[in-house]
Amino acid sequence: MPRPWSSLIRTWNFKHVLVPQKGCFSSISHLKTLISVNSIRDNVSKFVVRSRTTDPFLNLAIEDHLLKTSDPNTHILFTYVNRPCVVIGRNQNPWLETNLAALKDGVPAATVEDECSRQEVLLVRRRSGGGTVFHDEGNLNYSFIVPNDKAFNRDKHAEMVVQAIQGMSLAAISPHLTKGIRVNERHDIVMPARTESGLALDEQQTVKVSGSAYKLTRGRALHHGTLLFSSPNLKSIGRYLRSPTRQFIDAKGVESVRSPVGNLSFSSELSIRTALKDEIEKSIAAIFEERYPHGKANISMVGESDIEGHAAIHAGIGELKSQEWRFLQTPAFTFTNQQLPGESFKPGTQPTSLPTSTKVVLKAKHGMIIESHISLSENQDVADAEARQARAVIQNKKLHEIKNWQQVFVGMDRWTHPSTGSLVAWLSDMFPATPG
Amino acid sequence: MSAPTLVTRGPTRVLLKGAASSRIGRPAYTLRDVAFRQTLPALSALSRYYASKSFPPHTVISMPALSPTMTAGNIGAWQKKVGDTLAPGDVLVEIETDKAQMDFEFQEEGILAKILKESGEKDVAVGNPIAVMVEEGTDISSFEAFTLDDAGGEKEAPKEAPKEEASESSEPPASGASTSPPPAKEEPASQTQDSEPTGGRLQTSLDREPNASPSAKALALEKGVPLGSIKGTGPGGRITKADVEKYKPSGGAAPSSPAAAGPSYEDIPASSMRKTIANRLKQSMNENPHYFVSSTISVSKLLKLREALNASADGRYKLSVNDFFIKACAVACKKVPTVNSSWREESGQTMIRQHNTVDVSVAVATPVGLMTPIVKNADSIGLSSISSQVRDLGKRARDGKLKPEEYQGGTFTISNMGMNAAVERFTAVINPPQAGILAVGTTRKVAVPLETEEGPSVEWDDQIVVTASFDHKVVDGAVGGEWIKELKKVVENPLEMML
Repeated sequence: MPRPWSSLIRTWNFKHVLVPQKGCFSSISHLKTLISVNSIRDNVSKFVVRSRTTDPFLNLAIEDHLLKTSDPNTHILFTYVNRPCVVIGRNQNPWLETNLAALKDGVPAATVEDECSRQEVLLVRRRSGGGTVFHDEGNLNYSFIVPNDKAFNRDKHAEMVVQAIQGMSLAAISPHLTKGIRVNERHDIVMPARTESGLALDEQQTVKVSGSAYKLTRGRALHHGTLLFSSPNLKSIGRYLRSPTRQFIDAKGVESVRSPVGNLSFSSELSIRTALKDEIEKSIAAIFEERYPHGKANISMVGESDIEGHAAIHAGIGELKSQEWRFLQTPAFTFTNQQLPGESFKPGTQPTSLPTSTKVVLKAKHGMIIESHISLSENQDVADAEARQARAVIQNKKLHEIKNWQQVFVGMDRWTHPSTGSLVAWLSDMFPATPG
Repeated sequence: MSAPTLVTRGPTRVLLKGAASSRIGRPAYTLRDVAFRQTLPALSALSRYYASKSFPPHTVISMPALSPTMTAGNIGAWQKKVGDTLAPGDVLVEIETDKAQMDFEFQEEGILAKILKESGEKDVAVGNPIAVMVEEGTDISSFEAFTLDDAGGEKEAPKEAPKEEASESSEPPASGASTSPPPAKEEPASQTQDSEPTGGRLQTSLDREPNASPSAKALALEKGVPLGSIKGTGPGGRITKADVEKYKPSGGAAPSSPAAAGPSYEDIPASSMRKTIANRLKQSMNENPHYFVSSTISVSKLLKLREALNASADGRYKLSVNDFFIKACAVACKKVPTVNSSWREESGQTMIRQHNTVDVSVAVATPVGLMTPIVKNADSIGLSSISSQVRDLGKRARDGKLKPEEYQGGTFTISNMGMNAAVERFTAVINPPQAGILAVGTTRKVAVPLETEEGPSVEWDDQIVVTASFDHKVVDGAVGGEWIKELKKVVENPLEMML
């Protein structure tokens, strides 16, 4: 982004956005009363809520609380930004969709100081459907909570976001950078691919800047989406979302659909990125206010301090953080290194360090191993014995609780095969120990 | 309900025949809300129920349509286990479709007896059985063995309509006569039959009637579609309305649709050429700010010159008016080079490329669509070359034998509808990335005033109206006007083409 604009942005920024809106409702308890059943007071049925926290569990819990407790006639726009995390859909498989080992390493840091305080990338399972996405501070999440009636459709709010982007001032974003931005058939927001400095590539190639997911209940509809406005981590996304197990897992549940992604407008300066985020939030809020009836929207911000003591939201946070929710909600799947009889799934190639007689089949349901056969030997009887011993250790164990695959095989009198070490290494890659 | 009638039929016959029992229950919503559940086994299943002895009375729960456009969904987490009580409003199971997570709230009371589709099952069609429910107090242990087939099977697997006469069938034909255009409930009552001859189930003579829903039968009659040739995809091989509709296109395209009204339209799949034309012209209209400049040009002199040249041709060439216009365009483009340009956005630079030669694309109508082969260097070659090139390119375009370099490129286009006597004038769409196109109308004889020694008189003039479309990004109004002026000058004084 050209330099001269940055100073412009900084000045009106301080005036309008960085100071929380006083006077109206900046605590969640007020927020709750206002949007609860009995209180559409003063004809206000539109709410714009901005989150001050970057904790993804908090943000999702607040969003869910807004969905469940808001008055059925209200329209709410909730925007938030998360620290680096990978968010999988309600019915997805974390081992299949994301590289759990890469998550532990965290995001590459921009400076040496940051390098020392590198935090791991969190794994989050959200409550709405759809596929897996990567969030960081260069990604804005918008969430529309509206009545689930005839006026609701899956493209409506994506179109509003497109218009908000197109309507932003020249100072905020150069229009030629977002020329051609539109909603596609998958309800994603795409725009023509450009190089980093904004040069147009082939017109036919598009990159995805926003993906959507929905949760529909009786009476209420939640449509939330991501918006990659200026992420420095685009190149890492592929690494986090590409799991080494994907060639070996045959899963029920929902699989992600891959798309190349791109930023709206990248800048290496943090202040410019922050300013752009504020501008986008304002623009989306303006369109939201215009589109839904009944006058002005009530604007408020919410942060960690506002929800202290709020039992329902904290319960929600606890559930979202729990291993049960994140891992045990995984639909049934089979991990196998060879095609099983009667099944059409063809696994990929196992590492060359493993002998061809290796047979690894794990069947998991509710995140627990319900059936398994692990063996290395060519000899059928030895193989069966190996499998029996391994099974004794891992049967009915929760997959995410296996911290150390070495211990599954160590001390086993049947496990004398020289490649046991390679097998342990491979299984540890496929199913790395999860923190907590 | 017609339940009482069925009771008298079913069990007696089964006992007589000793046929292996068919095990089925009454479908969930048909009894309560027919309008809502249109695809369930309906009462054909009911009859099987009464013929059955293996399972206690139960209700099959099907995949609901949780939104008006939903056709299938993925089963998410079951919120109830087998044996749990179901109360109206309880969430039974979570369903995901098209990125939307939804709760299936059950509205009946009962106990969950069996889950037919486990969590994670993908693409379960709306209407397919997903679970079984029983009333309070019923023993559910027998449902362990309940399978999807017992629930009526799935929609995707189309079952054969039982056309073969089974030897067990001994139902007198008279029983089939009881039906007449029926409401949805009663008609299936008379169609007590089964879909799986292999299951050893009972077949009645009613099987010999085509197994179709009443709406399907009405639609088939209207469309003139023979029911016998449709494969049913409904439960029990039933022909549904959707089957009749789907059959229509394959039969309808051929003119031999029997009886009644034929289809009122024909769907022609768009060829890739059509799609390309569509895309490019759409893009052109969207991105080029078109404006149009018209001029009425007197071509009398041109026609005379043409006649003279053709007379002395001795078969070496035959010039057409179009050839002259191509040359005239080239001359005008040389005189006003701005028009002979294209707008380019490459490597971050936006520029206007002004070409030094004039390559004229000539619009040719071929059976498959519009093509524009190029006459290269039209400004420097002679009329006879232009003529022979146009003829050759046109022929090859119609045969589909053009090479890419022969139709890609070009700096200006000419589109001539002069051979169509009805077209006085028309406007054309610019071919990107060119900056202009000339649309040539037909020749008309127009009376023009003439001063003679005898006083004012009229003479006949041959005139053509041409309309040029320019891209305002590259060519401003005045420049476009200038170009038309040059064109008019050279057409009205054709010998200037030699300059």
